[in-house]
Amino acid sequence: MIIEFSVVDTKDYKIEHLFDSPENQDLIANFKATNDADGLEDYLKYQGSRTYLIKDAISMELAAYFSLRTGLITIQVQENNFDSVPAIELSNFAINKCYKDSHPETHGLGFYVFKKFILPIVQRMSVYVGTNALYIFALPEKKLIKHYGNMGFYRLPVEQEKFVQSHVKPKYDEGCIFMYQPI
Amino acid sequence: MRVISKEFRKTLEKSEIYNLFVKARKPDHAELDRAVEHFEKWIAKEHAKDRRLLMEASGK
Repeated sequence: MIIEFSVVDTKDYKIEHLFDSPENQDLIANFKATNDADGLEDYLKYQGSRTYLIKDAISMELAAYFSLRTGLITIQVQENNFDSVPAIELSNFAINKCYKDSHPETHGLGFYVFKKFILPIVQRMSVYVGTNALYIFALPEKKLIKHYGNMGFYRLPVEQEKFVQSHVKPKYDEGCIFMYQPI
Repeated sequence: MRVISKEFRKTLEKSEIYNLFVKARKPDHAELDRAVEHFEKWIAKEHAKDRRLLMEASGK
């Protein structure tokens, strides 16, 4: 028996696909990423992964977004031999600065979205398709790397990190750091 | 279809990085869970305030 699965709302936030309704286009036009991450804003407006919007269940404000896509982690098993690990890339993840500004005491929304929405999707996907890891390319900022560490992401040993980054990372991710966690 | 040869299987088994992925433990999400629990308490209070304001605004 195959059970269909769906991504569910929590009592405080709603999750929608970006293209679920035309009004989402207006919402994303006003999305401002925290920490001046302009690239994350551009990606939301001109991208190609599966993108999810997280909305406040009461005010319907756009609180955050994230994008997922399938991918492979290329690993160097010997000098001229490589293998690949099937995985899912958390290709973008941002909190809306406008939402944070209107709720200045908000702290931990990123953790909440990761735990309540991202992990369940990824774990459910791995039941149906062979995926062994979730990975990200984190901006090279100490605070951010620690933040992702608290979400359960690991860094690879230095040499392997260099290898993965030179084989998997697109040009626009230059300078970003590969991090992964088993699922 | 792709089949991994016995030789390559042996190479994989000897590979440190391959074993790192194959034998990797799932992360400890204890800190994440604590942060989420804290956030849930906060947002519940915020939403209770918002609901109250909405009720007042609608005259109920």
